[in-house]
Amino acid sequence: MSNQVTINNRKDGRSFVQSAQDSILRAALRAGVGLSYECNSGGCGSCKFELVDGQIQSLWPDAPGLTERDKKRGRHLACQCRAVGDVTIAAPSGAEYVPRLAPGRQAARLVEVRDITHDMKEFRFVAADNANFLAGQFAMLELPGVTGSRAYSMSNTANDRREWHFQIRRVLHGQGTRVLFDQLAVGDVVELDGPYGLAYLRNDTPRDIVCVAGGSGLPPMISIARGAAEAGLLGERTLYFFYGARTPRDVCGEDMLRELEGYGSRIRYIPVVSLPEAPDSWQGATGYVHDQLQGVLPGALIDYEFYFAGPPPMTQAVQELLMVGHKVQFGQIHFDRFF
Amino acid sequence: MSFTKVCTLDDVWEGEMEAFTVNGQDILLVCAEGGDIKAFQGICPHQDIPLIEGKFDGKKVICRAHLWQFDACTGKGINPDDCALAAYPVKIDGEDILVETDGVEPLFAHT
Repeated sequence: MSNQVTINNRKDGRSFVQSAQDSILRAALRAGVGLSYECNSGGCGSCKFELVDGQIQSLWPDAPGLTERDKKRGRHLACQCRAVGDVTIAAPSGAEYVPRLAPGRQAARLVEVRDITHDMKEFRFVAADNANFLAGQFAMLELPGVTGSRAYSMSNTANDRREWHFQIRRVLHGQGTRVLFDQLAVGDVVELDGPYGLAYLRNDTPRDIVCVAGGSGLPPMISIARGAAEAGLLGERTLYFFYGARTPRDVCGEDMLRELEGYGSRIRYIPVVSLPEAPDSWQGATGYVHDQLQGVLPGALIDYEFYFAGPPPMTQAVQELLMVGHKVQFGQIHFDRFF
Repeated sequence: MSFTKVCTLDDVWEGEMEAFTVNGQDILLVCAEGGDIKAFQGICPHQDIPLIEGKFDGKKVICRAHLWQFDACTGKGINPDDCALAAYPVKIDGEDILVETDGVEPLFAHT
């Protein structure tokens, strides 16, 4: 069997080559073909396709992005399937999915780990070739002893030092975070594949920017804020950065924003705590982070560019507020759905 | 020109939606407030997500993925408003709901 196989997409007539280690989706994106996708992790179901001809192998048959109904109807996830020999598929595609920077695999060495909160750390890697990505994107890490790769968002921006910074919250019983937090040592090398993701900073709109992060959704929003500052977007625009935390000790991100030019004037930080615990332990806003948007933002919600990342209940609530409640244009709303 | 029986009126009550496969096509039957039964493409025009996995509030069908919303009477996009669901002709014959699939193709939208 040859190492490389060809995949034909009957829906758009495009064909591309898949190398042995790639999924159908990653092969497409590497070739500059915009197959529909979002999480690249088997969760969102955006990359569903039909197998027309040929053989495929599933990398994760129980991926949550595929329902029983999908399976009955012969649907598969492009991010969790590999072609075995040449295949023909029918998969949705579009210009918005064509990567602006083609993802690539490279070795990455862990060079530094720093604490952010009691359960969140920043892991800094130096990659072999480059650190080319857009603010707000994510990369896939192959961790030793972990089945399947893990998606983590970068918190920094593209740079010549080849540095990729990930801010990661420890997940109870999470295989990936156990390796990162307990086993990986400075100097160790992992494989990094990226960038991926569609919720990157848009610099062609004049609107003020709103970032909403909840819990482990901090890093891509920090990257957006840093990217906006570096690109000079905050001369005329204001960036509102909302961070939703469970308790006061989970609040983070302000020190990173404080380093940016315009902090306090062009960059506003609004932390919101849902469980304040003791009444005098927290002076800031309380409740759910999405409930703060209308009160804090001076304009109507339809006038802002929104970026958000966080746990499903938060992203769902923000989406409902914006899409259903206020009819904010879909093109002004940027987030990558992981479920 | 032929209508295919999909189900009976008892299967889609006012304020409900149900998904069916008719002649190989994914179809969503919705019964809007007021009792009008309509048949639309079963898949969101945005990504390949079945609309039955979303919500129906009696007036609009809301896709679960990105909360794209469609008018349950016309299929027209509410937000975003530059897209629509393809509609299939519906006929009620006694208790039976029939749909015609010939010549109707699902619509797709790009953001």
